[in-house]
Amino acid sequence: MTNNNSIKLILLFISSAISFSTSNCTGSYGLGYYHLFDENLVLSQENEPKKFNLWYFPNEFKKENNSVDLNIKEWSLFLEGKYQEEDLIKIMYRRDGFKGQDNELKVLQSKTSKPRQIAQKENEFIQYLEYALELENYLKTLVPDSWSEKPIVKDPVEQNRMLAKANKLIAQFRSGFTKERMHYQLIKLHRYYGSYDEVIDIYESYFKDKKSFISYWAMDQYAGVLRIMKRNAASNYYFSKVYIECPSKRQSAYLSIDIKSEREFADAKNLGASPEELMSLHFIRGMNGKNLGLYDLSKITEINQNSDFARILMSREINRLETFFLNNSERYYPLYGHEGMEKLVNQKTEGKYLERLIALNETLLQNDSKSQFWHLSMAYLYFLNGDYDKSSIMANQIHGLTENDQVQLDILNVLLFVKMKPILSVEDQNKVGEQLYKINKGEIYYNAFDSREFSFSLNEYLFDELSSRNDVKDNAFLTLIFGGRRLQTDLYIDRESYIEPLEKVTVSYLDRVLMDLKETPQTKLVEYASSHYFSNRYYWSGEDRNIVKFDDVNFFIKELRAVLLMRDPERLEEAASEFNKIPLEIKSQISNTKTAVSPFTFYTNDPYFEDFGYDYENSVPDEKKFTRTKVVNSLLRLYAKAKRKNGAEDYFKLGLAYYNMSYYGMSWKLMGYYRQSSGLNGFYDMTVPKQFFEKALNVGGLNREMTAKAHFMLARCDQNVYCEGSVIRDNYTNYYGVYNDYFDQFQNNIRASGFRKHFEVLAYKYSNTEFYRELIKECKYFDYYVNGF
Amino acid sequence: MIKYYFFILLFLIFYSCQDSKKVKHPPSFYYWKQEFSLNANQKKLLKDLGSKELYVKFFDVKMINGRPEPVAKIDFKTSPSDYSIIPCVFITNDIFSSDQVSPEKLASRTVKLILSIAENNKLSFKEVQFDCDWTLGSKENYFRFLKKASEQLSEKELSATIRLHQYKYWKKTGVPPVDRGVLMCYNIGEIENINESNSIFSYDLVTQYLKKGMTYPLKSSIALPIYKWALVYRLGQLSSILNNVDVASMENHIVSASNNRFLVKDNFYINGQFLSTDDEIRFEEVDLKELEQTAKLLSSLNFDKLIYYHLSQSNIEDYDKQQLDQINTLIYK
Repeated sequence: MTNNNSIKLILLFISSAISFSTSNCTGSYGLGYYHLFDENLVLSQENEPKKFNLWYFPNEFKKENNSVDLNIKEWSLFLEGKYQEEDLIKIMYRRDGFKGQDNELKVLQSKTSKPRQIAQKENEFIQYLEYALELENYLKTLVPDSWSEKPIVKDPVEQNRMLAKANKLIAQFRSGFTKERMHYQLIKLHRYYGSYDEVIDIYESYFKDKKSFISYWAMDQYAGVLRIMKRNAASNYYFSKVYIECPSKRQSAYLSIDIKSEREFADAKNLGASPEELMSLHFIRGMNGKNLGLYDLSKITEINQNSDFARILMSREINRLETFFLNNSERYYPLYGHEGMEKLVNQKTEGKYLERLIALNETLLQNDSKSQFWHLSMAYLYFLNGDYDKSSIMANQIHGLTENDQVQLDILNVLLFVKMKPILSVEDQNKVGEQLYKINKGEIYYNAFDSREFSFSLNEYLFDELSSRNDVKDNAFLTLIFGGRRLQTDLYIDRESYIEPLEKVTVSYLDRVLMDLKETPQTKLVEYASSHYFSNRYYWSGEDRNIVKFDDVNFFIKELRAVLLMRDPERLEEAASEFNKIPLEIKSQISNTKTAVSPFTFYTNDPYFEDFGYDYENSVPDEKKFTRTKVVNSLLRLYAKAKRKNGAEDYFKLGLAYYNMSYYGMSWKLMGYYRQSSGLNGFYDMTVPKQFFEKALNVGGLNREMTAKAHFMLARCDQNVYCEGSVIRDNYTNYYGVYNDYFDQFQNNIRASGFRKHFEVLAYKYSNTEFYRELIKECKYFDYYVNGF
Repeated sequence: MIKYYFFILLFLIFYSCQDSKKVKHPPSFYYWKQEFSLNANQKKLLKDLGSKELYVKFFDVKMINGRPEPVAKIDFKTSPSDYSIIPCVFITNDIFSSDQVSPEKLASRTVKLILSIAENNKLSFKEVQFDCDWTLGSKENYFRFLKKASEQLSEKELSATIRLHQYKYWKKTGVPPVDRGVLMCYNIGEIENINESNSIFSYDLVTQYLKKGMTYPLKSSIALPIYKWALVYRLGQLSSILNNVDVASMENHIVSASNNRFLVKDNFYINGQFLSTDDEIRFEEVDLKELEQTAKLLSSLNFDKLIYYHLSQSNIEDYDKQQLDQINTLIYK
């Protein structure tokens, strides 16, 4: 790996040092976090973003998976490409033990069909592997168990044996590659045994000034030993070298750097001979998620303003500030000790910091490189600061960019275009839409270089910006697609949080949306936003999301409308008619429009929702499932029959269906799209099933068993209603199966509040039924009611 | 005869009144540093107050690489044999929110480590305390942990810390299955809030949680703060907490903004932290008069002991022992 590449590809940024949540609880696009200055674009001249080591949050790292990958690549090269890397991984990183040199060699050689003339290398590989595995096991005896206070007992005999074996192999090996690796193993052996002088000696005589892969691993160990010997300046200096040059040890090196004062910082710097080394320490300090990078950035730019260090650090600082300046919503921080509570943040110092970054950037324009990075960052900083004219002038000065840099400039230009025009004409909207398609490469979400993991959010930012404009607010359809409100989960009330209940989605609201949809001109922007909305904000069945065409949008809204209609038994006919208008291919795309669980099943014992989850649903073929259309037609027929014949059993079945299709039932998917476990959502109105069970009782004709069941279903409805209004939700028995205080209290309160009338009827009038006998065994609530007081 | 019964009644009333008076104990102290070593001032304070009991943090348990690991294990540089030691363990809440951790196994390992440390330092103890700010999501696992620990420490008393909101809303937050609780009456303000006046303690805030006559279904002690710190805010957000610092230690690098607030004028290191220009620093400490006022309220709430948090600071001599004694006395009135 060349120096330039490795530095360039190094470290990325910590995105923002701090994450926020917004106050907007209606499910809008108002993200807590924005990231519109994309490091994958501005730092990718060589177009290799995968080499960037991504940090998600301050001091949280992606796992060093490349440690194994990079090591295997080295061995693969040594073995002249005769072996597949995945085979080498299995051989080297194994769980089972070493099975003797001859056996292992046979196994190795069986993995290749290429002609082998590397017998010597293969032998050395196997012998090295044997030693390395043996050493690994031995070193485990020298590492203390954090949970134990027992001191480690060293075994000098074993230590000497391992030393002798290593030295013998070093003498025996012909290849420099394996000799070097054995020296690395020796360093580990001495380090864990505590022979620190030996470590220093081996490193300085064998590895110093080397730049091979394993020499940096040796350097990492060396730096660790220097720390133990309290040679802190040298330790920090060498860890910084490992950090810069060695991706596979980057994380551990970074965590090992420990600079506690300016003096220590200077001491480490003084050991640095080259400008790169000087810059690297500033870079490492600046990149610490807790620190502001400006000071160290300015020091780096004094040495080389066009270094990768400077550009990466500036990009990180921009990302840190973006959220502060782009977030339209009020920002909140979590209240200490109060889960779910937040308080408003006062913005004060971010503006000052931005101005200082701007001042520094202005000094760097004159000597900008061909990539024009400092012009791009300048334009973006002006934009963040609200200086749209200055930003625009700067952007217009930038020409002849690489493809990726041009995309970044396009992003900035579309942002400026929208921000500088309070109202967008049809022509303006077409321009914006075209730009969005171009920037997103024809997709409706940004997927260049996998930066979705950084929540690249141009689409969401623009939509959020547009949703606050009056011409959008007056249009229910535009408000929906730009606002990003999730329709399918809007019936959400959570008593455990401090968020106000959300507005319910109604049929009349959807009628307004459909009406405004008809009036809305089909511009490129509207097409793009509606595709984005219906492809991203809806729950889809299966893994792949379809891109929703503008012409199909009305069907999705109508489908939801039909579901809302279905929840009212008096509007079943309308619901059926609406379902019939929707093409089958649209219905099949929407999540949870069918279920394998019959809504007409009676359960004495509450089943577990997990038992009827993904695996169960997938075990039943689609043609055997209950679709909304099928069920709504069944309900329509059943209701008509019930009214015609005054059929108690029909009314009972209707009650059962409406209960099972509610939030509380196993067939909830038929009248909902998403079920939260942490709070009520979807359809949870118990008056509908209750009315049917009461009707079933009142019209007469149910036998005693069915009557008992009807009372039980009414008791279930009552308990759900009670819990909806009650603070006490955790009414389970405790871990050891004994009723705990809460359960007792819950039972007392629900009874005192009058919600056990139907249990009373069951207990006094139906105790001689089969159902009663079953119920008292299966239902802990009823058992407590009868026996627990 | 009536006179006889009357005097018996009077005697019984008098006797029961005597019994209901609380017994005053000297205050106890928390010791929360990794290195245990009492300096002369600390020893003097303990002696002057007659304090014999120290709640010493033996270690923390934190999630490291997806596994709970003990960190910051106590190192007894001097022997604490003159004092009665209560081992304390602080456990981060995320451990009990994880479904990858067995609370029972963790309890066994934790108890075993406590016993090993005690044995290696020739300490005996009668109580163990666990400190975890549990939530509704972690409650069940934490309580399982405590139950198991209690079984393993069957001859010891088990105590657990309780935060104000857990004390007030115990019906919702649950009551830990231990022998006693310790109500932590500090760190109660909005530490994340740059505009907060004092996140350590405020009498007004305490009264929002505690009212005269309130009860809690566990016998409890009370912990009150005697410490100070500096909070560093960067870009409006809490960046770090600095212990054992004062204005003088950074006066070359800061300018006063208001009463207890300062702005950093140039980058510098302090206590190993790198502070940046325009960082805002807020110095906070506890007003002992407010603690006195609080102690009067607390006296109606049947706390049986006062524990001061904490002894392990470099400037313990700043605290007036008479005032500390007075606060302690008020708890028992």
